[in-house]
Amino acid sequence: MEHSFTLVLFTVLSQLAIGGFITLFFLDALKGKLSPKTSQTAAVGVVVIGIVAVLASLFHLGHPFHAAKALLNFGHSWLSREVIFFAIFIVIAIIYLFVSKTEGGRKKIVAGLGTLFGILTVYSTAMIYTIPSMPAWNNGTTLLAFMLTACVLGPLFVQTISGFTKDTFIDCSRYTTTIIGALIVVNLLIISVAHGGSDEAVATGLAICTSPLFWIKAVLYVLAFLISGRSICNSNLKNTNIATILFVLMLVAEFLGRIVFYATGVHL
Amino acid sequence: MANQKYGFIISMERCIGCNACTISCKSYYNLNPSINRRFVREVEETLVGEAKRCHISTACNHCEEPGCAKACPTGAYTKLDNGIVKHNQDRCIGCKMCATACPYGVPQFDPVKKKMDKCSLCVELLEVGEETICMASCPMEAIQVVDLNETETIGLVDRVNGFVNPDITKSTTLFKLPDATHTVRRDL
Repeated sequence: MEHSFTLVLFTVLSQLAIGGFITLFFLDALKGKLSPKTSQTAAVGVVVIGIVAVLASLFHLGHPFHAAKALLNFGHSWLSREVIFFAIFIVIAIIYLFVSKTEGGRKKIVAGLGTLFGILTVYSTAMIYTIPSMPAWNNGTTLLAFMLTACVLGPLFVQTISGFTKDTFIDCSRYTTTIIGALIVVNLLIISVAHGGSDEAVATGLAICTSPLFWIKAVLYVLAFLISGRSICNSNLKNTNIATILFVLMLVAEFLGRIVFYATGVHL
Repeated sequence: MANQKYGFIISMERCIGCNACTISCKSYYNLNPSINRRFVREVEETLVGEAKRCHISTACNHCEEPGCAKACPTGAYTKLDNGIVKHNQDRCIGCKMCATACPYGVPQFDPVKKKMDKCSLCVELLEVGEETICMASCPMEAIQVVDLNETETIGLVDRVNGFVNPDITKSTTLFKLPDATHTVRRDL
């Protein structure tokens, strides 16, 4: 696809922001494990990243100042739905900034609604690309990959923030290792499904396998998986520095993976 | 215009791949040099089991279930009652999703207007009883625009090698295959 770097930025950053907010829902609103400073800082981060994602997506348009027209076809277009759901998500994330210091039901409701609209956004983003004209994308692996991006980057982002705010370290090593493992499996699945599909899907599969960026991503995945896996049984590795390293590794890996996604899609 | 369903019939028997349709359309609509509304392609020579050079000239297929209309976030595409899939450039914001969603890759990005562009089936000419530009310019009369509700379609097909499966978006373009008996018998 042409001009897709802005879409790379939008999809990865929006999924990072959504994953970060869902982490806040579980760790802050439901379990109360984060200090007010950490939850506030992470919520600010979610809002800023979300807004940067939206700004990046505007540069994909021929007429960015008419972007509001993209809301008009909610009934049929997944892109319209994505825009609306993500706008609502950002508004809720901003509201969360104000209620995150409070206790009780209101905070949980706001965080729950934000989580719901975040998930709807990722689902809509995936459905935009799950189309018959792009055979390699037209299956469940697109949704799986996008959801896992949010699942892996979100918690690592909040852990990284907790390091900056000198908060107590929350161990997510089992969870992180599992999700990175799932990402490795899903990537193998993407290549397998592509190679078993139509001529265009096979061409996509071959383009993925011959892309240097894909192999750099694969090395980063394996490295992150080994570090995260090692930290499960080694308490010396359970700290925010390791979480920050894992966050950087996975963020770079997801950016590279998304570049490969857009660059290798073969149209019918 | 009610009860009409306009669509293309392309005679592969007649098309010689001269690109007159592409060029005349481009000229009439003053299109940007980088884009086309019609595309002429050579297709497999073994199309009907005989060695024969064939071409197909296609534009927007004015599908029954247009992928572009489903993908467009601004609702710039409308399936009219007369079968034409109309693109309203005033609504277009140039997101290019239609180009990705169309199985035929028909909508093209105009780098000057920064909007998408595609065949309108010369609706303004059809409405006053004139022929479309591609139809009028074809020296072989290989392109017909007909009311598919009033046209006998026996002997026409909706799928040929080199043309994406029409079932995906229910393309309305029909093709007349080349007659195998017209093949030059070089051994005689």
